[in-house]
Amino acid sequence: MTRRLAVKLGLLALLAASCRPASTPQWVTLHFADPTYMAVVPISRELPLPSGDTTKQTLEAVLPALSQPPSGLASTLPPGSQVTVGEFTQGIAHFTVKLPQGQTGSRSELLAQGGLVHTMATLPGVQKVEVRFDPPSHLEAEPLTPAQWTNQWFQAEEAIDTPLTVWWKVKATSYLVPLVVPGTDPLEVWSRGPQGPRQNGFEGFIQAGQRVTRIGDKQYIGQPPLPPLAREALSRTLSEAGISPVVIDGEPVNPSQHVNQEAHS
Amino acid sequence: MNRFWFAGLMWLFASAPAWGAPLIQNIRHDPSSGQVLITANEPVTPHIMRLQDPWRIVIDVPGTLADRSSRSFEVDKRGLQQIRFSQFTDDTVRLVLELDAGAELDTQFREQGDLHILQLRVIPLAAAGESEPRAEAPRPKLKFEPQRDRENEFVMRLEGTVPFQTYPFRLDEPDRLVIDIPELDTDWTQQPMAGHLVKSLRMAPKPEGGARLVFDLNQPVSYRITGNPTRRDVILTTGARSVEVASRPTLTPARNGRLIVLDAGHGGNDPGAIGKGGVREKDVNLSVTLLLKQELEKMGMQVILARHDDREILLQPRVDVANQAGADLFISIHSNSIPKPDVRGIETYYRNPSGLPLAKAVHGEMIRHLGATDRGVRYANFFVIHHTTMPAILCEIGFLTHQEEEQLLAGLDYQRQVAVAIARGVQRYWETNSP
Repeated sequence: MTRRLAVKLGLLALLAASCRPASTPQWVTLHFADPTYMAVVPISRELPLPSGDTTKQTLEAVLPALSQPPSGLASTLPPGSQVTVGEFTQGIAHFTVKLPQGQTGSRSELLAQGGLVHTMATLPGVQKVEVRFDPPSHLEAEPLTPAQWTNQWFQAEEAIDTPLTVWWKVKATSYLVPLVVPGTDPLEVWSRGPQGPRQNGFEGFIQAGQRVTRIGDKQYIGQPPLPPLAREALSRTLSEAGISPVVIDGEPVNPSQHVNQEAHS
Repeated sequence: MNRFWFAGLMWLFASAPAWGAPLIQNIRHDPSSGQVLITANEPVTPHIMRLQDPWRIVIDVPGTLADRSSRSFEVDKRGLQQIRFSQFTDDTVRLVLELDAGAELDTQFREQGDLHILQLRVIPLAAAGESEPRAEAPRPKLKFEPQRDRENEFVMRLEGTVPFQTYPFRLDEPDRLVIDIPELDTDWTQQPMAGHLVKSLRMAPKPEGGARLVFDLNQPVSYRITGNPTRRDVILTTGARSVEVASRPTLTPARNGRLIVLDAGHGGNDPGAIGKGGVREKDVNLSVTLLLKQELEKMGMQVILARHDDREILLQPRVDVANQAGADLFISIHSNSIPKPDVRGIETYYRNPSGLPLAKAVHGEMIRHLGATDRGVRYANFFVIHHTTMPAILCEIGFLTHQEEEQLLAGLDYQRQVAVAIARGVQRYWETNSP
């Protein structure tokens, strides 16, 4: 009798396991806050996710990783936040965020929104992400693409000019970060590095006495030659401006598929 | 009214509580200097806010205990009428100074041995230049006239000889609709209504001027207020409560120059962000908003408040105030928060393109005038700056999660500096964006 019951339970367990979608490692671009909480920073990490198309279960499997920032960055969700995955239909993923009491400032809300939008919209099939707050926030719930939530701000006295997406790095780290700043010439803006208060949190690659020269349509020479991270940042900046592929210091450079890629654990 | 002097009155409180929180040891009023002195055994961070109707300044001292039940006493000192204190919450002592209209407070800290003393000096309105109180002209009075009283609709007409604003809100148990009208006075009166919806109407003058109307209701009603600057119809109809807006300050101001609507973020049951020292965003926002109103009015601008006291107002009514009034600008005041305690600075948000020049002008003045960290002018889809039809911005005037900024934001001096900076920004905006 007991043996029969054990066999039945074993069969049930096998059946349950076969119904659960298999997990496979997949690269996901998570987004975390820089130490000054001014911007979201992409980090590529390999996560075990349900195989097949993106589903609500996929979104749920990604969520815990947003609370595990790499060293030097912070979660965009304040400790104690509760995130619930809602419907995922027609390419729009819905989330509800409950922030801890007293942590409901605009910056907290905006970063929670930005981290979710940028992270989830990198998953296949997710075009837009809608974040609602509980209790309702003064930030309107609307489905957003990453292009609608960018690392852009104007500093006091900064001219309103053509926006350029420039890849610099988070200060004192090697994390590349895209910032939207005013300017027209991507090489000139990238070489000059962050200006004014942006220098509190971010830094460029070109030091005094160094320069990068454009020598052809898409050819660039660094003096001295650029290190790999600077090449990656410049190629991403040029690519954002529609200049791609490029040759830097005599070598073709294409932005790597996974930005700020974490080593396999 | 019994008024008498309390010269050098002092309360000595009982011994320090077991849990070791800072103790408010005494609170006294020195009639010779006009100062109120609060003495604590450890440094404290008072949070000062200003409330209207009647005009009073509230000083919360978070993280402190006064081992004594609430007390109040009256002071016949020019500018200061009454002092009250209580253990407001388990860990916050609240002191309320009821003042003559327009009177202000100057705050200073000093140490005396192991004691930490907060000095509050009342500055009467007369200090601004008057040597004697002037005789005030009688204020315009509110007239009212019932228009219609049917089974499912009740209409009351309110009339004034000057333009006025109405601030309605509801109270439960029993059901009441209350309407405050700051610009008009009234005599105390009660009028029974043998109607279907309204049981009786009570009117009362408010101590600082202004009228309060209370409709005692037989059942929950929906309400709306329509009309023109000097005449309003209050229309009550039967209907589910959920259908209508909770609290809508309805107004139609007389236009005389530029009109700005100021929106103090959060309020009532919604405190917004809360600092480690207990400073609540809703209080800072309101205090700065009231100071900003003064600054803008000094510059000759007209100001309407979307929230004028500590009450919760939904987002749509805040927007309606500005849109219905045809305001020229909309400015929402907020305080920020983030989990990291070393993040500080000012952010200014716009949503619609028309708000960007205003945001830049105000943000630039705040950074210049306050010397604060520049965290930029940013786009964000906040409801109140999205649905307002005029240039609209939302100012995040500092981080309550930063200890020093929390203390600054709790202080009247810094609040006034913030107000001055924003007002300068508005002025700067007008210099380059005149219609």
